[in-house]
Amino acid sequence: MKKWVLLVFALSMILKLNAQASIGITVVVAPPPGASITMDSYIWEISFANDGVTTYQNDNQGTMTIRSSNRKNFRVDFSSQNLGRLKQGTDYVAYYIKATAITGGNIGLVGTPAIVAGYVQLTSVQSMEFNKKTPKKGIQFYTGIKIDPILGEFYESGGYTDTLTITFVGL
Amino acid sequence: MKKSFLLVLIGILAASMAWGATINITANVTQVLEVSVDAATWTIELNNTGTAIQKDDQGTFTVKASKSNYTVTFSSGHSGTLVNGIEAIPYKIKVDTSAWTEGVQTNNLSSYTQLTTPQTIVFKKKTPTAGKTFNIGFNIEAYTDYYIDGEYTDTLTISIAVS
Repeated sequence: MKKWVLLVFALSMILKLNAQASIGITVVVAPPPGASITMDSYIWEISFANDGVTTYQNDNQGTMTIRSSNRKNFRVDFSSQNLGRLKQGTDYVAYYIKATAITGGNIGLVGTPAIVAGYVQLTSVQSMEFNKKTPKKGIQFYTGIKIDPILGEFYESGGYTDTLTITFVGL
Repeated sequence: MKKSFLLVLIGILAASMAWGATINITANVTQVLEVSVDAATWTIELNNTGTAIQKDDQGTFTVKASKSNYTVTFSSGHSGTLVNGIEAIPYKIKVDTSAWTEGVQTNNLSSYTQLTTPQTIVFKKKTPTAGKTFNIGFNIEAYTDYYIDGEYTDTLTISIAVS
């Protein structure tokens, strides 16, 4: 009941403000206290053999901790700046990501998302949905990465980069 | 009153917004630049009759490159001559890259050439991981004077570098 009153009040104030004048407001949005996604490392540096045979695969490349605070229903999205490819100029190397639960028991994960079932290329956003609050200390997942060779071919050698973004979305 | 309203509004906005973590991934893809030869020694019989010697498949060399632009350089320890003391026999070499024209920009050894100075082959395409193999030809032109008999040697060096 109180929520509705507040919402109606808030909307009426917005309408009132809009009716009176246009005001530019910049709001820096902070996450709700206690909710977060953190990694053990925010920089992954990988050495790729480039022999046309050897796959790079590290199922424990990073460790992700999710804390949902008071959120029961939430989603974690994985996206890539270069659509699942590492980039060097005009050259690309495809890579694949996988999430593996470290925390045991019922963590509220809904179904088996593709990114949990196996390695997926982030050509589009991949998500994990949850329907249970995390403990205060959070729940943990390994984040794995895999790069396949092109059999019999070299990748153009050099340093390839991408930015992987993991986003917490309250539902 | 207005302050508390704004706080409520910010709270509502915050609850509906997303936040998370970004990870910067860097993959260092190993560079491969190699040249190898099928035989490290060539032994050639010169019968001293004045007849030219020419063998278009005297040896082969294989190049492996994970770069698109690279140069292979051939050089001779004695400026394109085989030497025996103060005696010298000029010789020429040739590299046949005609089977991979799409990968070669310039071949300065497409015909028999004496290595009085280093000569280059400029490539413009990375090779398969198995590499690309090319024939090296060897030539001593016909001669009218006998060569002093004996053993003549030279060292042919093949190197590779990013262009």
